[in-house]
Order: sequence, then structure tokens, then C-alpha cells
Amino acid sequence: MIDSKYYNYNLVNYLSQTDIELFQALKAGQPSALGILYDRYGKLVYGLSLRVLKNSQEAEDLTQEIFLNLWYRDNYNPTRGSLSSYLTILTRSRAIDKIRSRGTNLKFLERWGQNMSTQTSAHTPFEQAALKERSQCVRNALAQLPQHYRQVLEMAYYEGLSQSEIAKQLNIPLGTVKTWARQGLLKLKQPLQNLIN
Amino acid sequence: MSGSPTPEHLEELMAGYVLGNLGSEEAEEFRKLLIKNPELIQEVNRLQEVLGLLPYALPQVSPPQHLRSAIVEAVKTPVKTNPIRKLPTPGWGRVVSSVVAVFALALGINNYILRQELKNTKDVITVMQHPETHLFSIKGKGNIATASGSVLMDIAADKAIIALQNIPTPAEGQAYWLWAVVGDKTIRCGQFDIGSNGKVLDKISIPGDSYDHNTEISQLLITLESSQDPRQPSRAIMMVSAS
Repeated sequence: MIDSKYYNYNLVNYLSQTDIELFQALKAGQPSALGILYDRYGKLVYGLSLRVLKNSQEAEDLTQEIFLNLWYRDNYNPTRGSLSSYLTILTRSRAIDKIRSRGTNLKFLERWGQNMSTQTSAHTPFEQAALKERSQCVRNALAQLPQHYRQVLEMAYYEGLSQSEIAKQLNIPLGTVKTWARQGLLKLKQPLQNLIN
Repeated sequence: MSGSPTPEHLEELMAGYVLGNLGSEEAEEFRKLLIKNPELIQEVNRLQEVLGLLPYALPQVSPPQHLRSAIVEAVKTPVKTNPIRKLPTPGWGRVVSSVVAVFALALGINNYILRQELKNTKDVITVMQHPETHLFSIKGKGNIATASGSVLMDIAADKAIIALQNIPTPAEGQAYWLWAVVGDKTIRCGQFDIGSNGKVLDKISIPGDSYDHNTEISQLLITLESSQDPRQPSRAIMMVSAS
């Protein structure tokens, strides 16, 4: 039989601990904190890894690497930004390094779509709601952007392309690419400000 | 540019900084603004956070269920499965850090700007950790004998990082080009940008397809050419790597 007091305590604790508290618990050597952080951000890290790497096994490996990095290394500094942002920056940078080191001749796009996992979510309703709300908010903000702003922003972010590579691919001047990317980012600031505190 | 920048221009510079797409003049302008107004960093961090939200818009794909338990179990029993312990030894880490520091110090570049120019100092560390990375020391010749610096060639990732000083700004329509001598071929690696005060810190893509990865680069050359697509190093060689 479930001890309801214990259950409620843990549930409240689970939902209310901030990322910083969890990170401190993690540094104090509590593996359960890593589990909770994984429940919060595992989907985000995996989704981003999959988007950049386009391979589910590599995305899985990178997700594991990112969370173990959080455990074994002390690189995150809470005064410099949110944990979520730290995780996405690290994941993106590692993923792009990996695709660059594959060489230039692989045709990644051919693999896209073949590796999408369709497993059902293991996330609790709370996490799903928080993630869904954020996702919806970011999607709405992106949907408000002029299409070309969004395109150059996403090419730079997910493909790791330089501005001159984007200019070449889209056959537009380099200055235009820079302006579109910058304006795209700036236009996202206002609708997303509630999410960046 | 004199006087205070307009709020719009300042925003543009901050967004360019976060996106890593500032030109060298803009980077210099922004560096000065940051020194004068260190509080700008807060707004830069906010933009960085905005950029970090982009992945939330991706289709929600759940990781396989076994991944969570693999991660949690790995830290409960930190034995052979710990991949971090396989990474370079502390000695190597110190070497890498000091090379990065030397790059920054030698060029007198504020670390903040160094990160901008390379997106992140981690670029250098990542490049140096690749097994196929080669570090070349490079010296000026003739009129620019005082020019010097280093080039890191990362053959695996097809990238080169160029860090030089005392380089004169080229005339209009001209540019510096890096070339690699491999066997009996001279391969064009790419053109790089000159920063302020005759300093260069640039990362360029090199044409990986042109190399036979089993053949060593015997020498690097830097020449002054037309900025438009030179096929061969035709003009005077300005700098060469130490043999």
C-alpha cells in the first residue's frame, strides 16, 4: 500500500524543486536529481540531437553524453543562464561538431525520417504540460516571423552553416543573410520574454 | 563610428554577437561598447536564452525508455561506463588550455572577443582534441618579416584556425589566402579575414575532398592574391610555415 504522505511529499518535492536546486543536489552526489532533470529536459536534448544528427542511435548516445557531462563535470554556471539554455547550447555544439567530423560526403538527408522514434512518452502529465506550453509558445513566436527570417535562423542553428554558406545556398547576399538572422532573433525576444527569466 | 550607437544598431550588434555573425569591424565596435557598458552582457545573455529556446519548437519525439535508466544507472555505478573518464588526461587538458591562453595573450585579444571570433574557445579545444589536428608555426617573409602566428589544421573536420599578428591590411580587391603543400600539389585552403590592428583570428573551412588524408601537409603558405577565386598562388609568398 502506498504511504500517501510520503507520496505527496515526493510529488510536491519533484514538481517544486527548481533547476538550480536540482543541480546543487546533483553536485552533492544525488543520482535522483539527475533523473528528475532528465525527465524535464531529456526530450528537449534528444529532440535537438535528433534534429541535428538525423540518426536515432547517435542522438541517444549524445543525450547520454550530455546528461553524464552534467553529472561528472562542473561546467554549468547558474549565474550565466538557465540550465535549459546551457543544455541546448551544449547539445547543439556537440551535435554540430559530430556532423562536421563525419566528413563532407555523407548524405544526411537520406537518413532523415528513417530514424524517427515513435515510442510513446514516458513523461508525467506535469512535464508534458510544461513542455507543451513552452513548445507552443516558441512555435507561435516562430510562426509570426517572416518565413525567410525563420529559414536563415534555422539553417544557422540546426545545420551549423556559416552565414556565407547560407548566402550561397539561398543565392542571396551575405549582408541580407546576416540582417535576416539578426532581425529574426530580435523579433523572437518580445513574444518569448516570459520564458527567459 | 563615433558617438553612441542607436538602440537599433546596438540590438543588431548584440544579435550578431549571439549568432556569431559579426564582421571584424562590427566585432571591434562591439568589443569597445562592451568595455564601456559591461551591463550589455545581460541583454546578450537574454538573447542567448531566446536562441536556446528554438529547439522547443521541434516536433516532440520521446527518447527510448531505456535511455533514462541507462543514464541514472551509469551514475549510480560509476565504473567502466563513465565516458568522461575516457576523455583526455589532465595533462592534455592543461596543454590545450594553455595553447588557448597563449593564442589570446599573443594576440592581445580579449577573451570575450576571442569567443566571438571563434564562436567559442571550445572550437579551439575541440579542434585540438581531434587526432588529425596539426599545429603549424608560421612566419612572415620580406616586407612583413615581423608577421607571425599559428595555424591549426583540423583535417578530420575540414577546418583551419588561423591566428596571426602584424599583418598589413590588403589593398582593395586583394586578400590573404592560405595554401597547403601536400605531396607535389599546392592546395588552396581558403581566404581569411584581417581583424583590427593587423591581427587575424579566423576559422575557415578547408576543402576536405582535395586531400589524400594519408599524405602529410609538408608546408603551409600564405599569399596575397586577388580576393576573387585564385587557382594558384601567383603572387609573392608572404608567410611560410616553419619546416
